[in-house]
Amino acid sequence: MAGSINWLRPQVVKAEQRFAAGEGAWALEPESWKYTRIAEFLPEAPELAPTPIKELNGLEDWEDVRAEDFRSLEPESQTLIQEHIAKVKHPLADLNLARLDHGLLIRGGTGTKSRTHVDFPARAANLACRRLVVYAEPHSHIDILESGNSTTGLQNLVIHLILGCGASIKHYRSSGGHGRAWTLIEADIAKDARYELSSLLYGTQRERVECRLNLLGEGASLDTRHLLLGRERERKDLQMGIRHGAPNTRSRHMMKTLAADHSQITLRGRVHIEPECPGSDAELNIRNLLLGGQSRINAKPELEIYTDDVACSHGTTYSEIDAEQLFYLSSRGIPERKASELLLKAFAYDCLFESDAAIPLNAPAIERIEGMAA
Amino acid sequence: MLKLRKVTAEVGGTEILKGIDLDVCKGEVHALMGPNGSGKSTLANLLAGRPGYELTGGAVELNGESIVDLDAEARARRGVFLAFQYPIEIPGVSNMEFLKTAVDSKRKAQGLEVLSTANFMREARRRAEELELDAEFLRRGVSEGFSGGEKKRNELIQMLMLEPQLALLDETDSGLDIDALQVVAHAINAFRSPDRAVVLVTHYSRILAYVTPDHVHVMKAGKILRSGGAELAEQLEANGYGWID
Repeated sequence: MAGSINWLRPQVVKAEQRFAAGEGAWALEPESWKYTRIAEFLPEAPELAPTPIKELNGLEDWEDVRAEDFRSLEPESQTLIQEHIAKVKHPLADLNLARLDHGLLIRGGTGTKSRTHVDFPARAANLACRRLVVYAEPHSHIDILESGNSTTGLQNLVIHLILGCGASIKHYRSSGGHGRAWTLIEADIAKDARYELSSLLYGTQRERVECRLNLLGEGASLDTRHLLLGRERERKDLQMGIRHGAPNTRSRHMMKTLAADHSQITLRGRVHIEPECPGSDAELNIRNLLLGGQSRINAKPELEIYTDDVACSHGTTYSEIDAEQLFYLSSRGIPERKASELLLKAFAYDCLFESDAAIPLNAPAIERIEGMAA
Repeated sequence: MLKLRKVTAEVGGTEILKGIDLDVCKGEVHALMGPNGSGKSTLANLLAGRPGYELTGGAVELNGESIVDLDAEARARRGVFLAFQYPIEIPGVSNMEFLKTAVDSKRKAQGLEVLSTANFMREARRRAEELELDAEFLRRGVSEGFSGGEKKRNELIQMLMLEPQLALLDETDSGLDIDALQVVAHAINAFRSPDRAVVLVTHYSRILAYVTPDHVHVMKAGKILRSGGAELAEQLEANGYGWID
């Protein structure tokens, strides 16, 4: 594809400088709680020389939506990207920009409805940096089906979603592979807009997902569901930062984990209600199922509330497979392994994708769950 | 078919069954009656192989073979079915998936081909209709949000689909209104055959107005104190359990 991202060059240079100076990546460790150390995600020697942008691929089944490679953006879209890229502060996001392979902008025009499937295939490289910017213009609706496999090195993905007034996005993520993956999802949700995020995290030796989701306009709403599956010696981290920054905003969050063998899963869900945001309503639930072995789950829900007249709650449970349910299935002649499989799928059920278009993306996660049954 | 000799059992370290002798032949329906705490449900769960229900003495044979060392799954494969007094809810597993998995498991264990999904669904819907349940019911999670009566009828759909040799119905009649009671009784009668047996655990004789038992047993304090024909149930209805020692 013709074109270049020279228009992004000033931001790329700054990102290179910040990352090379080590301002962030290593300095962040004190806040990392029980997360996998960021240094463990990094390639041994990430080269900072700019790499050529690769061909866009994996985009299919899209309709009524403008999907544009960063190399072929109109000036107006370039300005949009520049404004939002400057807002993302994270050392690995700096690395992402410094070594950007793919840049993709998806725009849903005002009042339109659209669906797009973006696939980020594994690459035989020690570092693959992709960036996806989604802009839902006012009163538009976009369904995003996103799939990807980590590489043998690090898959570094930054997703930035901007929802205009009354817009809505349903975002289905299915993430597997066998390498390392780090993903940052930032969403800015305007008045009366709605963002729904469902994600399945399976496979991948090291995976960290950081979500920074901002309810910025009155009446904005947010619904997230995450399912994390860990086995062998996998490490998976999920950090959710939810900011209620306007009155009468609503958010619901469900995180479920299944951990087996020597895997470790670490979750932190933090709901922050800013001052003068009455009518904010947030629920945060974490459900963990330990499947024995030496598996470990760390979960920390947090609420920070600076406004009266809000409704906020959180709950965390840890459990094992229910012996009564197991007996019930066994008493019908269902072999124990099959019974366990059914119960694990039942546990995961409300995190699996229900949309017809997204259902095929459930398959690898379901296969993984079946493989985790005792 | 089922032979119990001097069966003693405990639950959580407490002795509940204190020497049960019972013979159930093919084709028979036995009503096991008695007041609360007499050990009826303990006996049914013990026979189904429920963990925590420990046989401490005696013999339990099914078709001439001991089943005491078999787990619940193995007993089910040999044809033992327990309709639960309090059916377990399993949100996220649809009734249809659950039933199909159970029927497939049974057929595989018997060396039979599994039913095609279309044939299975046709059969499941037919059974649901027999129990006056809407087909939509099969798509819902196992017992999830069911009324008490729906849960009991769901147990009987499983019984009819799995066609066990020995059905242990643990207070399947409790909590049913009169219409539902008749539906349940109709299903039990439809299930009766010369190759099968039913042990009906109940407090009350009202279901026995619709399902005529061949034998009635009265349990108290972990023992069967009296056995008789259907007329024994009528006496219990008239006089209660107090006169039996």
